[in-house]
Amino acid sequence: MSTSNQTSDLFDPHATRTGISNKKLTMWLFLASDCMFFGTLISTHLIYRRLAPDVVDPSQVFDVPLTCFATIVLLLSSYMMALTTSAAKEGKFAKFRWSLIGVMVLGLIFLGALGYEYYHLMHEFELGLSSNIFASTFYILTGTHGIHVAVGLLWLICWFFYSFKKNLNLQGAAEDVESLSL
Amino acid sequence: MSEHDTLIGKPQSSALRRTSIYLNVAIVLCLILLAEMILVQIPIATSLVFSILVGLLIIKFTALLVWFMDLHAEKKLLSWIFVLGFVVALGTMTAIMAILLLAPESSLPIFESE
Repeated sequence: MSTSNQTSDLFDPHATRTGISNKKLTMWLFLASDCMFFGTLISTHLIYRRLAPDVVDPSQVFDVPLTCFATIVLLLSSYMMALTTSAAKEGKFAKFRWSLIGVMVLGLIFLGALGYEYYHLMHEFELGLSSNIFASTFYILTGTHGIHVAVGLLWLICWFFYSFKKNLNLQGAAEDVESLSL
Repeated sequence: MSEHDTLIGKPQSSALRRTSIYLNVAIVLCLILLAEMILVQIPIATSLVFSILVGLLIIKFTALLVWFMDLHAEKKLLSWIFVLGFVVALGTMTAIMAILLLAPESSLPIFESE
């Protein structure tokens, strides 16, 4: 019996030495590299705030309640995404789709808030992408985050339509959903 | 949507417990955020506010990783991979900012507004 198990392990196309699937491992490696990427962008912004102190007064420009609202929206979307992954693991299609819709709506609200903030900065304070070093580093930092959210949103939309595929084994695809949630 | 719903053998309580944990974490994170908003309005020493905000940031970041990203249920290797990337990022940030932010004003290139 043990021989047959060993034989099946040998021929398992998804078996890895670490016991972690390649998809999951790759996603966590990507997240680790993302830390470095965003670390660089945040450092750049903070450093140029020091090097160009008189360009813009951040306390006058930034809307703290709007930023907090956007952060709460992101936190709630993380919560909904955790529910989506949980639903996929349980194989519950209806719960999966409704949670997915919730994440997509929250993602859209976040992007809307980001767009509103950009509009506010550009029209009220005349801060364009190339106005000064403060604005450039700020737009690059928050814009890169926005692009991350937008790509995630597209991936979610694909999953929503894919969930209607006939004979889809949702529990079998739970690991893919987990990668998406990360 | 319910035509595809499947019935599974797992106990319902496990899923409910997981959902309840997610909800509790979400509530705690929102409360921390509200506390941060109130904290920045209080007229106390900036260094104290900054230290408390950094502490709360670490709590939020850890909670997201451990519960929402399910890192507690994963193999240790994944935690190490992430921690390694994070430490390299944080170390580089600290080094660069220490060099540039602690440098005397006279040695810095100052950008003037146009």
